[in-house]
Amino acid sequence: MHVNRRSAIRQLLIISAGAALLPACVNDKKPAAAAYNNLDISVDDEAMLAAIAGTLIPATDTPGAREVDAHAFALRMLNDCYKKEDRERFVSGLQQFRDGVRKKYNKSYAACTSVEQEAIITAAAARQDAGDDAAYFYNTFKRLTIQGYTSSEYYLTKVEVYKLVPGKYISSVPV
Amino acid sequence: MININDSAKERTFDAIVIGSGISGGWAAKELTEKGLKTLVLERGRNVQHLKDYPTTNMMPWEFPHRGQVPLDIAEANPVVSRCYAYREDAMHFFVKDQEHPYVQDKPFDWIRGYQVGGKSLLWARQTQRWSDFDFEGPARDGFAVDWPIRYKDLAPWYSHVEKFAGISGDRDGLPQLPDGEFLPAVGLNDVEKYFRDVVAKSYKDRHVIYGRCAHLTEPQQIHLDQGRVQCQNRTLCQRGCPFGGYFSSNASTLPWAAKTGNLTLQPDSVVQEILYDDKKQKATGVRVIDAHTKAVTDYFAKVIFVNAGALNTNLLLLNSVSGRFPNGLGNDSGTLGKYVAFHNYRARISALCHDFKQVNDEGRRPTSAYLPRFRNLYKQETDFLRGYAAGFFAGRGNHHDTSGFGRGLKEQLAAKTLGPWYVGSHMMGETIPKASNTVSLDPSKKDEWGMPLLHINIAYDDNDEKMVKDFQEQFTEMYTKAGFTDIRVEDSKQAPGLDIHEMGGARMGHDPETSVLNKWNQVHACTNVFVTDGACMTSTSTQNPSLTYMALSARAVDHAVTQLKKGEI
Repeated sequence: MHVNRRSAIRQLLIISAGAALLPACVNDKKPAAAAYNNLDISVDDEAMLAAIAGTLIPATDTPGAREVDAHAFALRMLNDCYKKEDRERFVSGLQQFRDGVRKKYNKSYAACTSVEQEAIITAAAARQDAGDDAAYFYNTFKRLTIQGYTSSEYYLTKVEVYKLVPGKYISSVPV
Repeated sequence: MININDSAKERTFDAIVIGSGISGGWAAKELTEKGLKTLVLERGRNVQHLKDYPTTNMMPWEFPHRGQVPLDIAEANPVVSRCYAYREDAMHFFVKDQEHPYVQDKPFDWIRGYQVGGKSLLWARQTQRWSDFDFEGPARDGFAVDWPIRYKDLAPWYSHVEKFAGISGDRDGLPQLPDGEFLPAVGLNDVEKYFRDVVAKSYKDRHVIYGRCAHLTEPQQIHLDQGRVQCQNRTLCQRGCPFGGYFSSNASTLPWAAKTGNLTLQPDSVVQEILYDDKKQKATGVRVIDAHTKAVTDYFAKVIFVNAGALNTNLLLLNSVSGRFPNGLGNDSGTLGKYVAFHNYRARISALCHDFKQVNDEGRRPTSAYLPRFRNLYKQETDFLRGYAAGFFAGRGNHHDTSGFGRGLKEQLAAKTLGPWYVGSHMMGETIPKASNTVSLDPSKKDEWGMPLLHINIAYDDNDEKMVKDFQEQFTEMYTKAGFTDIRVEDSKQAPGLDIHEMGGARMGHDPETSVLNKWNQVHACTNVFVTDGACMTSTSTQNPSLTYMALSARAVDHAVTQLKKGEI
C-alpha cells in the first residue's frame, strides 16, 4: 500500500540519518525490539541489560533473573508505564553505564568476565544514592528486575507459591 | 428514524427496566418472578457470567504489566485511572473518560461500568443494613427532607434480598447496624480481635465487628440453584468470579430472571428518554438508541423501572421532557438533579503493631473489620452533623531484604521474613445533601448518542472538613490506646465521586412539593415510573448503599405489581 511504502521509506531515512550521526564505536548498533519503541536503545543494550539482570540475580542451581526474562519485563514496564522524562533519564544513565564499562574494560558488559561484572555492579551500587541519571538507571533497573523475578512463573510456583484459589482463611496460625 | 419494520406489539412488554446493574438486576428478577414480561435495557455490551470474564483465571505473571495500567491509557483516562480497581485485570469493565465525556463544573470523579451487570461486577461487596439512626437523620438534624420510610418498612425486604444474594456476617446486636439473614462470617484475625477488645474497654458506644459482605461462605440451596458455589477467598472479584462466590447481577439475578422465561435482555441500548403521554397521564415507554447503529426504536410497557445508575438516572429523567413535564419527568418540585450527595472517603490512618509476633493469619478474605458510626448517634455531640463508619484491617506480609546483589540478593528474595503487623482504617463519612450540589444538562453539547452532556457541580463543605479532622483525631486516639506505633494520618483530598457512592437527585419524600419520589419509589406525579437506584436516596447514611438499593427495588416491584393488578397504575 502506498501509505505503508511511504512510511517505510520515511523510517528508513530516519534510521540512516541516525546511523550517520552515531559515533564509530557504536556503529554496529541495531535498534532494540519493536516492543520498546519508546526507548532509544539498541539490541546490544538489551543484551547488556540481560547480562546485568544475570549479575543482580544470578542463575545458580535455580533460574536467575535473566532466565525468567526479568530484564524484558523491566524494559516493557519502562517502555509502557514510565513518563517520558523518566525514560530519558533511564536511557541517559544506561548510556553512561555502557560507555563507562567500555572505557574501563575496552569491551561490552556482556563480554566481561563475571568477576569484572561484579566489580562493575559493586561500583554502581556504591553510588546508588548519588541522585544522578546513572544512579537512577541502576536503581530503577534493579527494582524492576526484582519485581520481574519475584512475579515470574518460576518464583510464584517454586519459591513463594501463589494460590489462585486459596480456599479457607485461617485467622491465627503460629509462626 | 423510528423503526417501523416490526409491529409495536412486538415492542410492548409488561415492564421495562432501564439498567442491569445491582438494582436493575433485582427489579428484573422480582418482575419476571411475578410473571411480568420484562424488557431489560442495558446501554453497554453483554457480559455473560463465566463466559465473559477473560482475565478471571489468569496468573499474576500472565499480565504484561503485572496489573499496572500502561501510561498512555492512564494519561488518556485520568478520572477512571484514579479508581483503585481500574487495573490491568479489570480495565475492560470500566468506562473510559474519553468515550463518555461529562462536564466537571467542580472536580468529580465519575466512575462507571457500562455493561450487562454494570458495577455489580466491580463493587466492593460490603452490605451493611441501614437503621433508623439513618432514616431518621434528616428529620432529627434538620437537613434534606424526612425519609418517607423507616427501618420497619424495609426490614423484611432486607431479609428477602439477603437470603437470595447471600450475605456473610455476625449477629452483633447493634441498633445502629441491624442484624440480618447471615451466612457465617469469615472472622477477625488476632490483631483485629485485640483492637476490638481495646475499643470495647475504652469506649461505651464504639464497636469493632466483622464486616457484612455479599459472599457465599456457606451456600444454601437457593444459591446452588443459581449455579453459585462457595466463595474461595480469591479476592479477585473485580475480574468476575468463576464460582459465583460474590453477588452480582451477572451471577445471580439476571440468570434467575432468564429462567422464568419472562426476561428479554437487550444490551447496547441507550435509553434517550422516557415517553410520557399527556392524555393518558402516564409514561408509555422509552426511546432507545442502538449504541452501534444509532437506530432509534420505541418500546412500550405498563410500568417502567429506572435503574440507570444514580447520575445517569438523573440525566435520563431531566432529558425526558413533555408538555406535562417541561423540566424533566416528575420534576414538579424543581428538585430533580439537586441534593446530590456521596460518601466522604478522604481520610485514612495506618500504623504498625509490634505485638502478636508469634502469630499470623493465612489465606485471603473478602472483607475485614468494620466500625459502625459512633459520632452523634444518640444525640448531637460534635461541631459537625452526622458521622462516619470505618474499616479496620490488620495484616502481616513477608518482607524481603533487597539490598546488595548476586547470590546474596537471591537468597534474601527466597527467605521469608515476617514483618510487623500493619494496621489501617479508612473513613466512610455521611455527607449532607444540599440544593447546591447538582447535576444538570448541558444546553448544547451532546454525546455520540445524542444525549446532553451531564454537568456535575458537587463539592465538599465545611461539615465534611470537620469530619475528616475528627476521624483522624479519634482514630489516632484509638490506635494510641491500642499501643500501635508509627501512626500516619492522611487526607487524600480525593474529589467527590471516587467513593462511587453518589446518591440522590430524585429523592424520596412525603411531599411532592419537595421531592420526586414517594415512599414506594414511585414518581409522585407519574406513578407508573419507579426509581430504585442511588438517585432515590434522601440522605446517604454511612453504610455502603447497594444492599439498600436491592431492598428498595424488591419492595417497589411488589408495590408496582400489586397496583398493576388493582388497575391503579
